[in-house]
This record gives sequence, C-alpha cells and structure tokens, in this order.
Amino acid sequence: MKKNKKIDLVERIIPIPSIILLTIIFLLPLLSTLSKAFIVENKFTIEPFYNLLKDSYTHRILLFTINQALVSTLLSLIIAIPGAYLLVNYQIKGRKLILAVCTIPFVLPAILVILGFVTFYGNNGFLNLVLMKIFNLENPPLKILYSYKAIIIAHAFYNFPIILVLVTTYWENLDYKLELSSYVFGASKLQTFIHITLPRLIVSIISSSLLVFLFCFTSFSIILVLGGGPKYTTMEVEIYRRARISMDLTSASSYALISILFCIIILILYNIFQRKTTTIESTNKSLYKKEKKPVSKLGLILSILYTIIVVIFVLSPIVSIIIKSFLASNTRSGDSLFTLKWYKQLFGLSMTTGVMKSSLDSIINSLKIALIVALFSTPMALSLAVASKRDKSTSSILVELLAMLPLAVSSVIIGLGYYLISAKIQNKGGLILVILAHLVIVLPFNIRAITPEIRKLSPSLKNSAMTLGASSFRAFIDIEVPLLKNALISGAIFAFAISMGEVNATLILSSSSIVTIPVTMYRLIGSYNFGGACALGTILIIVCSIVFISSEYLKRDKRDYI
Amino acid sequence: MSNNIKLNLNKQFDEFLLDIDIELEQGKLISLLGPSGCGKSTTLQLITGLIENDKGHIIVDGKDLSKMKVNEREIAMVFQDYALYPHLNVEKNIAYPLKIKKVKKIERKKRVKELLEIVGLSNFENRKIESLSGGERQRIALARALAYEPKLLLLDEPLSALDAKMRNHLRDEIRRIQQQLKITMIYVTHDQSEALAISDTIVLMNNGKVEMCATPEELYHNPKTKFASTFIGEGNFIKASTVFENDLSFSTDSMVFFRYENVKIIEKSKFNLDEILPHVILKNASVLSCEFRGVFYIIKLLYKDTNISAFSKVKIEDSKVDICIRKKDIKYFDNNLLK
Repeated sequence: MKKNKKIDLVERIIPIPSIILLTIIFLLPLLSTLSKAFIVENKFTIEPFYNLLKDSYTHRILLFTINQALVSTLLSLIIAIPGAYLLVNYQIKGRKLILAVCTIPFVLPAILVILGFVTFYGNNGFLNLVLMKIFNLENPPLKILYSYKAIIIAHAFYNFPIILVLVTTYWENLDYKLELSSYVFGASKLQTFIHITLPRLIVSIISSSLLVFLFCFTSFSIILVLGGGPKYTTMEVEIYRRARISMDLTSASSYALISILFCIIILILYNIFQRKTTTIESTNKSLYKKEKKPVSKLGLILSILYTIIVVIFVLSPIVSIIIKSFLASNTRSGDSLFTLKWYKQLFGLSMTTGVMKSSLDSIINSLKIALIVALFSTPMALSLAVASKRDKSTSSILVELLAMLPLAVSSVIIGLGYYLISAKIQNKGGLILVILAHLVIVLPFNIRAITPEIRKLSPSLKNSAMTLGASSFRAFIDIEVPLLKNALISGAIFAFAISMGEVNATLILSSSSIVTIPVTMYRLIGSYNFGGACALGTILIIVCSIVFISSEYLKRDKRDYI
Repeated sequence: MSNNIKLNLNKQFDEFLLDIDIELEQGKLISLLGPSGCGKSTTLQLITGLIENDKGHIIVDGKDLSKMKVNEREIAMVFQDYALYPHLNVEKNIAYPLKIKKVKKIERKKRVKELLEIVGLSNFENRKIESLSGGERQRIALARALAYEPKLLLLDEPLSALDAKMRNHLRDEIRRIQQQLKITMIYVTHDQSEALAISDTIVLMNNGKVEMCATPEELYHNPKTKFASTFIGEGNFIKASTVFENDLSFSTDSMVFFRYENVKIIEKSKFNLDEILPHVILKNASVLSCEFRGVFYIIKLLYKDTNISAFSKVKIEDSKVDICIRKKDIKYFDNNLLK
C-alpha cells in the first residue's frame, strides 16, 4: 500500500536556500568555464573545441590519463583484496589496527602524500638511506620519484583503503545463509565461492574500483609533482598548465569540458553498480553473519605480514615528514642533526628568505578559510540532507545529483572556473573566491556525513513530537537536530580538514597574496626547501590527526536511534 | 447534542480506498481490529492529520478537526516503535509535550512524577531511554502521551514488539489506566484476543471498510457479515443445503455459520437426543483427523464433500460419527449478509 503522506511544508522549505546557494556557487564557475570554451571574442564557436578533440596531443593525454588511472586502480585492488579476504574470514588481532590505519589516507591531504613520498621514497629519502646503509652502497638503489612508478604507488597509497574498507564492509554484511545452503546442496567451498559469494561480491569490487578510477582520473597535484615532467601529463595537469602557464584559457576550458564528460560517464557506471549493491542484499532482512575462523598458522603469518606491510606503507611517508622537519645538515654532504631551525623560521622567530616568509601567513589563512568553510558548509549540508529524507522525491534526487556533481567536476576545474571569474572582476575578492571554491569541494563530503544519519531517523520520532503539540519546525529543531549532533560535528570537522588540505583548486586560483599551507608547501617543495615543507607539513599532520581521532571518537559514541 | 466522536474518513490511494463512517462514545476503549493492510494504521494517521483526509470530517467535542494542523488537534498517539527521543532522558521525554505547552518547570516535574506513578515506573525520571526494556519503553511512551492530556489517545499496535507474557500484562495495564483516567482510546491491533479482552467497542475493519462495530460479545456471538464470522473465533461456514437437505426455503447460495464449539459429536450411548431441542443431525461424517490442542481436540470431519470442524473434549477414535448442532447456534447468510 503506497502511503501518500501529507506534504510537510517545512521539510520542503528548509533545503531551498541551500539549493539556490549551491546552484550559484557551483554553476557560476562551471558556466564561466564552458562559456570560455565556446565563446571567443564574443562569438559562439565550436571550432577551438573541435580542433582540440582532433588533436593527437589531446588523444595522447587522454590515453595516458586513462592508463595511469587503470593501473593505479589495479595496484589498489592487488593491495586491498587480500586484506579484505583476511579481515572477513579470520579473527585477526591486527584488525582494528588495519582499519584504523586505513582511515588515515581518507583524511590525508594530497600535498602530505606528495611530501611524504619525496622524503621517504626520494633519492635522498629514508628508504634509500636505509638501503644504502644496509647494503653499503654508494648511490641510492631505488629511483622511484619523478616517474610513472611514483604516480602509481602514490595513487595506490591513497586509494587502496577505499577498496579495502568498502569491500570488507560489504563482504561482512553478505547473508551467509546463502553459502550455508549451498554447502547443504553439496557444493564445495570453492564452488560455493565461485557461484554464490563472488557474483554478489563482484558488484561491490567493481563499484569501489570505479570510485578509485574516478579519483585517479582527476588526480592532479600528485601527478604534477611526482610525475615530474611533461611526459606524464594528465587532463587535469594540462588544464592547469594551459590556464596558469601558457595562459590559454580557451583550450584550458575545452580540456575541462572533456574531463567533465569522461567523469560523468564513470559516475553513471558507478551509480549503476552502487544501486546493484543495494538491491542484491536488500532482499534478505534477517542477516546471518559468517562466524570467523580462528587463524591457522599460515593465516597468522599472512595476517601479521599484511598488517606490517600496510602499517609501514601508510605510516612511513607520514613519519618521514615529522622526522625530517627536525633535521638539518650544516654542510652540503654533512650528516643531518636535530634542529628546530625550520620551526623557528616557520613562526617568524628567525630570519627567513623566499617562500618560507609567507609560511606564517599561510597558516593563518588556512585556519581562517577552513573555519569559515566548516561553519557555512555544515548548516548547508544539513538543510540539503533534509531534502534527501523522503526517498525518491524530486528534491531528494536533485540533492543527490548536486552532491554527486562535484565528483564529476574536479577541484581543478572548479578552481579554473573561479580563476576565470576572478579574471573578470580584475582579481578582486581573492579570499572570498577561495572560500567559495572550497565550499563547493567540501559540500559533497559534508552531505555524505549527514545523509545516512538523517535517513536512519525513524519518521515516527518527528511525527510523535507533532502529535504532542510541536510544530513541524519545532520538532525538527527539538528532536531531529540533536539526534544528528554527532553527524553534524563530524561533517564540520571533515569540512575543516578537507579545506585545510585543499591544494588543487587553491593552486589554480591563488595569487601571490593569498597563500595557504598546502600552496606554500607546494612552493617549498618546488624550491627544494624540504625541511621547511616538512615543518609546515607537520602542522598539517597535527590538524589531520585531531580530525582523525575525533571522528573515530564520534563513531564510537553512536547511540541506536531505536 | 451528543458528545460522540464522529469519524468520516475518505482516502484514495493508488489501489486502495479507505472509506469509514463511524460514531464512537467518549471515555471508552475502542479497538480497530483487522488483518494487516486493512487500513487500521492509515485510519489513525488520518485522525492525527499525519495523512490528509480527502473529504469528510473528524468531530471531537463538537469541533471538526479535519482542517487543523497535526499539532493543533490535541490528539496524541503512541507509536508502534514508541518513538521515544533517545537524546532525552525519561523525565524530559514525558515532559516534552508540557514544555511545548509552556508549563512551568516545577509543575512539569510534578506531572512527570504523577504520570510515572500511574504507569508503575516511579523514580525512573533520570533513566536513559537505551537502558529501558521494551515494556518499560512502552509505558514511558504511554506516559508521555498522557502528559499531553489529549482529547483522544491513539495507540498503534502498541504491544506488537513485546513477548507474549509482557503483552498480556501491559494490555491489562492499558485497560486499567484507561478506566482510571476515563480517557477515550482508539487502539489498533490485529490480535483478536487482545481486542476481545480489553475493548468496550470493537470496530472490525477489512479492506478499508468497517465490517462491523459492536461490543466484543455481540461481535463474537452475532457476527453480521461473513468476514466478521470467520475473522473472530473458529467456525464453519458452509452451504445451507448441506445442513438442511430437504428444506427448500433456502436458496442454493444460502450459507450457514456455526462455531466449532457448537458441534456436538454424538456417542450414542451417552445422552438422549430428545433433550437437546431443536437440532439437526448430520449422520455418518468421516473423521479425517483429530488434533490435540490442550484443553480440547479439533476434529476435522468430511460430510458429503463438505469440511466441518468441531471441538471435542475427548479423543475420537471412530472413523465415522454422527454430529448434532442446535438450531439456535446456526446463523443463516444470504449473499454474505445475515438473513
């Protein structure tokens, strides 16, 4: 029986201001990008776009973008799937450690990954130093940095946890009754896995892989720095080069359009598989979870090995940054000694030159921007999430689309859009434009923190408040908002962290007057001042750790909403 | 002017029409009884205003509420999942409607204390909702609804989430509180024994319509429709011509209804048939099965291609028996309506 519920006016009205605002801050830069691609000297023309499409240079870049995304996704899968298997099938001691470590890349800004890779995998990095010491070598044995390898490893570092966490969660929640009944029919373990488990699991593997593919497709700063040259140019890097280096805004915008079209295709595929994951398991209401086997000897060795590898893989770049921030050598070839030099320079306590001068400004700027972004994005996300409460209503679909669209439009393109706007208004409004760009980038994440929680709320909570005399708005404020407190706080914290670490859009948009921590770090890396970059990076690590710890804490404090 | 509650509810869904027109006495416990999907819960939501009435009226205390907002109707509801607020403790949950009414804090505390006493949970003020058992949550939900002092209290299958023992106990508690406070309650249930046990009036619903509205006794002994006769208790509903073979006053589609307990299995030696007048006897029914049910056996019989069931205090070992039904226990139906 379909319930045609009375339309709750308040629930209709609450999302409207946010939808309007989001449309403006999202569509305005997008439209200015598109108009730049098709309007040359006040005339509409598709010629530049068409020429670009035909250009073999474009084809090469596009192919390379797909190639690196595909290989990165494969490597992520290779790292993640064995972990998922171990976590799902065995009682592993390191389980909590693995899952905790896996959440680190989620909150780690790309600029820290880059810096961590430089300090750990670089020619003078810790990995090479250790190997040189052990094997008594004169030259660094591993040349990973500034190559294709570096891009792929960094992407895998960033993205394998996505697959590991999503697939593990999905696998653990598969109804084990089906496997049991297959055993009852006489199927072997392998047969059961191939015919019963794998077909259900595969949709989750594909959908998480598509997500990773999308992230690698639009990856920008990692390729810009770790790729180290025009040889490894992707769509996003090309957009940046054309816009900020060769100042060819028309072709930058055309590249942006091609990138958007590709991302939309990937997103549509992702949505199809995402939907399949929900339909496959929703038929089973009473879930029967598989009991985990105690580990065998082989399992024990494998799981310990896996835990160690994952922990080293994830933590070593981060730890390298912290260590390096306390090291400096007096002479060019001398040994590194403990020093607070970089921190003194950072906080303006000792004389500095060059990029390091703006480091204190960048800390203050970053904090200011992130705070404003968190304060504005959270209420916006809440009001948008309200629209998603009623399943399948037009506004709920609209909000889901709006929350998804920034995934199709990469942060580089959003940055480009705001750069075009800033050029139109004679470079005024700098800080505000950075804040708006961050707001667009952060909102989808913030909405995702709130939407699942708001959907969990039983409608009878609000209905009962209304039958007890509360108006619809009062019931929302008195009952629903307090119940969403944790989701709101964790959404705000995430917004803060993402804004603190945002480098892509900021780099395109920033002028010399507006610097943030990641932009300054990027410039320090560019001028080979790794000590200074590491000190600034350590500050960012501290901020991210606070986020990481508090989000874990909030997760633990989950009440059941009856 | 009568002070009765008048409900005229009409709601068209895609493939379902709810159409109800009843008048109910104030201060009583009225059950809405029916199979799932018959529109009981929808009826409650229409009364509260959570769903809009297409046309009709909802008259309580002489006022039509149907155009009023949910929060202005002064109709409280106890939800099936209790809908207690997990971020508030017991006291704040119960005091919530008082706070909305802007009752002073001291007064609120006093009222909460009284209400907790009524539902038998004194000193529960500072307990957290998650620390309560299902039965306790149920009582708190009831106390919170009572705190609102509603003109009408609706309960939507309030006991369905509890185990059988707790269900019986709370059922009697709800009845006791209703009689103590003389409040009008509309109680939705699909459990006939629950409805029979506590109601002043039962509104029997089926497929969006009211089948019968009567006291529990009336409903059980004098069902007015085929649905009413078969939904409550256990009975045989068979063609009249099977029972009255030679009586031509019955049309071919006439039906008769009689309850299992009114079918007597004759053990020839034991009693004199002439003593139980007037009656019909059906001879030579085959015994299909004899199921043990505790206090009695259910005997399934086949009489001339017709299945008839009966209760028996003793086990029936014979393969053929004669049965006897008193005429006053037989109800006649024509076209599904009582003749």
